[in-house]
Amino acid sequence: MHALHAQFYANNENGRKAKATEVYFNREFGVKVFSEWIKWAQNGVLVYGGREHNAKNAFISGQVAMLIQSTSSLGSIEAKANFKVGTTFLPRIPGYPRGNSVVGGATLWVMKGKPKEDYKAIWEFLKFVARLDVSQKSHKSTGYFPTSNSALKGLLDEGWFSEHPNYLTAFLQILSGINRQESQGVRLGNFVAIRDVVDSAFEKALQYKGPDIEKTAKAILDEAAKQCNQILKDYVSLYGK
Amino acid sequence: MHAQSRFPNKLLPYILLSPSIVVIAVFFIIPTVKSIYQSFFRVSPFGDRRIFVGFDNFVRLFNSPAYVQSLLRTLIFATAVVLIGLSFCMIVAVLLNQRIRGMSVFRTFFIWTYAISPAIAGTIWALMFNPATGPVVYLVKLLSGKSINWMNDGKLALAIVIVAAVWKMLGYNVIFYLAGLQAIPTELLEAASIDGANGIKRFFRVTFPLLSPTTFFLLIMNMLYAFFEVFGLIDIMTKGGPGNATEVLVYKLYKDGFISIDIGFASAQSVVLFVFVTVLTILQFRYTQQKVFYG
Repeated sequence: MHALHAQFYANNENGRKAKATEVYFNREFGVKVFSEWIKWAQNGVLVYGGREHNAKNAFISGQVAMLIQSTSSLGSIEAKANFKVGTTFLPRIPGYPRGNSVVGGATLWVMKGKPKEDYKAIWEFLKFVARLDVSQKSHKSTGYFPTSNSALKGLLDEGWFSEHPNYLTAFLQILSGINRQESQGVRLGNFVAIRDVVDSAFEKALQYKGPDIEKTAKAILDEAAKQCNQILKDYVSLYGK
Repeated sequence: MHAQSRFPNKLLPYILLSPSIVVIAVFFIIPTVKSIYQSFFRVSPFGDRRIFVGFDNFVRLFNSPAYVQSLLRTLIFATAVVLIGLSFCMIVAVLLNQRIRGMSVFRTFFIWTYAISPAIAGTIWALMFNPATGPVVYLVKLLSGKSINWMNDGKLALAIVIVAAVWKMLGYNVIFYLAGLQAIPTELLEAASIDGANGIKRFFRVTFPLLSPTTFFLLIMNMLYAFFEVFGLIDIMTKGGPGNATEVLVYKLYKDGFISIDIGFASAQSVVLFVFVTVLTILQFRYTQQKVFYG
């Protein structure tokens, strides 16, 4: 949401200029998003289905009519749903500049310091993943972006997108956004730990039933930000600025 | 005269002991020493850098509201699991100790929960309470018109996990209580009824005290279970959520150590947990055992 509305998530330009030492999600914009979610939950508009992919069940079983999910789930949702699925862009809050959606998803990393044979195997694996047909097949069965332009071109020529327009939505989302520093992915030390803190904060917020929505949202986010800043501080103390 | 004549070879006893010593060393002593050592460091997520921080991990632990909350939550959880578990299982065991046709079938029903692995037990309970597709949620909605969702109700989630944890230990507790009940001499119960004691009185005056060694043993086992072994259930059912509502100490330790990969901090937690449970067990041996009546 931050990237889409051209808001920084952390300092030092999302941790890209130097290592991030402070998160910004407890500022005005983050509080607004959280307050909105609490309101939805209180009005019974939002049903929380659990972390990551657990929410799919509520959608597939017909309990909810809309779902926010990664494009990489498209394939499995279409396969399981016994109704016609439509896709569209991420929702926007009016009054904020236009940013872009972050290309996230699973990334593959190669660490240094392994034996030579391992790198040979890794190289073979990466070549396999980047192969045109493998990349296209992975896109078709999951909804993940294909890894290369030529793979995308092949899909276009084949008429894949005119038959399966849902698979085009994520491309259009990215292409229709504006690339700014704010909308580049966040580079945080130990992001996994930070994500867990934020997920927990979200779950705490949804349990709130009282009327002081904005104050509660701010308090929960402040507490989460404190924990995240500590995680960032630890990371900087290990790896330097 | 020759006290050691049974083992003339001085080496032999050690050789015979060595397999168990190796097992204890590999699985208990070395990991314990290692976590004590690691608890003095801050280790990077990739394990390539470490800084000696002294007692900083411990200081931080007790200054962290999240940890103190988790500690309180664990105490509530463990107390509930032990109290509900033991009292419920004792009642079930007494009921199962009657002479009724087909009793072995009923007994099997109650005992087999122990044979189910934590992962499967967790999946069963999670499916039953799934907010979108769970049959229990559906039934509650039919009966009361309310839709319950444990994924955004922390108290409900904790309650469900407690019930699941008790259910999982049912078989174990019931077996021990049944064995305890069957060891009670019938003459004592007969004598009590001749003296005019009714069923309830007989239970509280004769059966209950004679079961106390079993209860004491189960108290320790259930406590250890509630502190350590519920990990599988919680991981499958709630992953500590929603919003840390079911994050007991052992799960927090796992999360900090293996999700956030903060090995030093997690080691400090494991040391504290180890000390904590040891002290609790010693206290129980000291004070509860005095009330145990060994017949």
